[in-house]
Amino acid sequence: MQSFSLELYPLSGQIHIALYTNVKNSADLKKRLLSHDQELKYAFIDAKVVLDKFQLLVAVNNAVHYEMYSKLKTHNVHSEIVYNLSPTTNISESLRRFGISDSTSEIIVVKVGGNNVEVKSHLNTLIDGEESSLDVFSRFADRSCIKKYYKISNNINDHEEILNIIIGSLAIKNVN
Amino acid sequence: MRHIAIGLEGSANKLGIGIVAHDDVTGKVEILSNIRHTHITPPGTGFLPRDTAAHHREHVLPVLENALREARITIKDINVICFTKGPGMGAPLASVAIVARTLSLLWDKPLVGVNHCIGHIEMGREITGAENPVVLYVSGGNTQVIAYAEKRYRIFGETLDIAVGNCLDRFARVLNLSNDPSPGYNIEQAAKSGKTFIELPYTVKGMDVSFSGILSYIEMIAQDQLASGECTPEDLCFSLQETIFAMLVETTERAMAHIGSKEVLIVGGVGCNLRLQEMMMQMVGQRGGKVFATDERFCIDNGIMIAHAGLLAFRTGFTTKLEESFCTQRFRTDEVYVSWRD
Amino acid sequence: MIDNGVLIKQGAEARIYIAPFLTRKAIVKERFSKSYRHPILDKKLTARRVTQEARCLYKCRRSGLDTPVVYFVDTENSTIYMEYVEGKTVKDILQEQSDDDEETSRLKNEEIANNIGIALANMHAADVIHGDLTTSNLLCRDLTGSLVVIDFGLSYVSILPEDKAVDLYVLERTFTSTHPNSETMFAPILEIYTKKYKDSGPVISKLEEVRLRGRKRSMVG
Repeated sequence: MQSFSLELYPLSGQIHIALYTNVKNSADLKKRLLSHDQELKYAFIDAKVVLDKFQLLVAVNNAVHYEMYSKLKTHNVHSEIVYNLSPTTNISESLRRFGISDSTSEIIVVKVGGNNVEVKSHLNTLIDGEESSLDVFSRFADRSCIKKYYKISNNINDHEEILNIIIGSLAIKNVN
Repeated sequence: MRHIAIGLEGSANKLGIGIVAHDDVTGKVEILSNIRHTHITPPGTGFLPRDTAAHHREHVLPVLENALREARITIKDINVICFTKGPGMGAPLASVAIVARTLSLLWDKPLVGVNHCIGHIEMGREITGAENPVVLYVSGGNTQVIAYAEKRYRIFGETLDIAVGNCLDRFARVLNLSNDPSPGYNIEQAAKSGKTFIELPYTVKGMDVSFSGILSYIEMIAQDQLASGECTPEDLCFSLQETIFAMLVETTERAMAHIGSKEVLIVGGVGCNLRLQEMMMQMVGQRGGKVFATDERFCIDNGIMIAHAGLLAFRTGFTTKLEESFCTQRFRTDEVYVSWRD
Repeated sequence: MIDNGVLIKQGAEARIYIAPFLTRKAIVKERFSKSYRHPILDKKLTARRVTQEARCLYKCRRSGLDTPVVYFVDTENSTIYMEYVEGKTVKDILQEQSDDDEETSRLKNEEIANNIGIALANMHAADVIHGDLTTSNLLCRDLTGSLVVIDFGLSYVSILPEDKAVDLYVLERTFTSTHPNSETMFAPILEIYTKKYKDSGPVISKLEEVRLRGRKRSMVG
């Protein structure tokens, strides 16, 4: 798990990011999320749609920004992170595509606030899987799926350029 | 040595004759006389070339006599006769140029044809002491952001359609405001009691501006909302000034930033507008610079500026031959080779 | 004021900072209000320009043009965070050329003109009008030599040949006003532009019209 604070919103507390592999209880987690279980104050993200850590950070930064200005489009800052990973403004589609499904086995978890020791131990009780090093999470990225979701043409294959387009689409998502 | 020039201007509805003296030892420039007569049309109408030319013909001799009398000089003191070659309205330009040509033959003095815009710029520089300013030239016929570089006044930005003064004049006609002393002056007065800001199009493209869309839009609003009392003529004058002057200040600032200048000189008839000067000062003040503007004697078309700019060129050896002393309605500021500046 | 930022330019309408942003180095463009403008007009213009700048930057990038990647748009504070591009402006490159011999600067100019032509062709093919094309708004990326178009603060989307023509005209005049010695560079730019942009025909004929309008405008109202 990594913990850090955002340059722009240092007062929003620590941000914690963790990667879990071989997760077996995704279906249960999803059900609890849908019933607004207050114990699950986390963003659960399907690792296959995250190409790069920077993409994740941009979505987190956006979500924290909108929370600060009371402009959340979803229930809370955590669902907002998932929503802000998506380039579209369709909320249910965004949560479906970028959140976890019943069969997701690699999950990226983001938590805004709290202290890292508590977050870590709480996550270990919630998730039935192995916590892995964040350095490897790009390994689970599903490029064709990412390209489809972000509408990136097939002739763009450079990792950096795909990432650049993803970042741009997230940045201007709420700009009208 | 003292050089004396007489200048004749009549490119639009002002007929002006002025006499200037340059002393090349002291570098002093002395204004000996500056006489003007304006062709004012009834409210709701603009000035037409034919009537304007007739006005100039009718008044040119008395204005000339006044200018000579006030200057207390004799004809033999005059070194050169300067006239406006362009740009401007054809018939009025020609009606004054013919007087200049006649005087040249009658008195046996050389002629210098002067670019009207250069006249404004040089007079503005002389009166205000601005050294190398970004020049905003705003009048009924021109809207240009100009800066000097390598022997020419280069146009950084300009209107892509009508001039700012033309936009104001035409809107004054819509409101039936008086043309005395000028439509723009009366818009400025009305704007002072405007209360509500009405959003208008704002058209800046780089350093260029465009006013025709704004004019049609505000004409439409005037038609729709004045009768119903949704807004007042004062609100419209206020909103129009705020919008188009903001565009001018913005493009001027962009030119300043582009060439790294801290001075702005405003010339041309619209340059008398105190609200424009005030907005410009706010902008320039924040950049730690200075605004130079002249009052109506020099902002509004006059003969002195033609005499002054013509004399500058004459003293570097420039003259206009009689057969080349025709007028031209279109004459770009950047066509003139500025031999008198480094 | 941007915390952790280093102010690198106080522009006419925006302050530009370099600041760290989520593990990267970013350019931060913070627009500020202009006191000479009526507050309603000022607010509207600032908001519109932040939005249009971000959207046009992204649209261009998607269309294969090299523009700074937009990282984050803070509309509350009229601020855009974007990629920091290491490079030199075309304005500086042209003005520093006095040190080069004639052949070197000719070759350099040819390459720059070529790159500008291609970039403008791509941009206009995407229907993005830059609105302020000057040599200060064109960078050569140090790492790749790629031509980067920056400062989309006055940009907008339009399909009209007229708007594209004015865009080109603004750039043409930068060459005559700022780089009288490189005035000849515009012709090859236009040539490449015409070649690379398949719908350039109407734009070029409009450009002719726009030029004439400028030079032949009558005073008659």
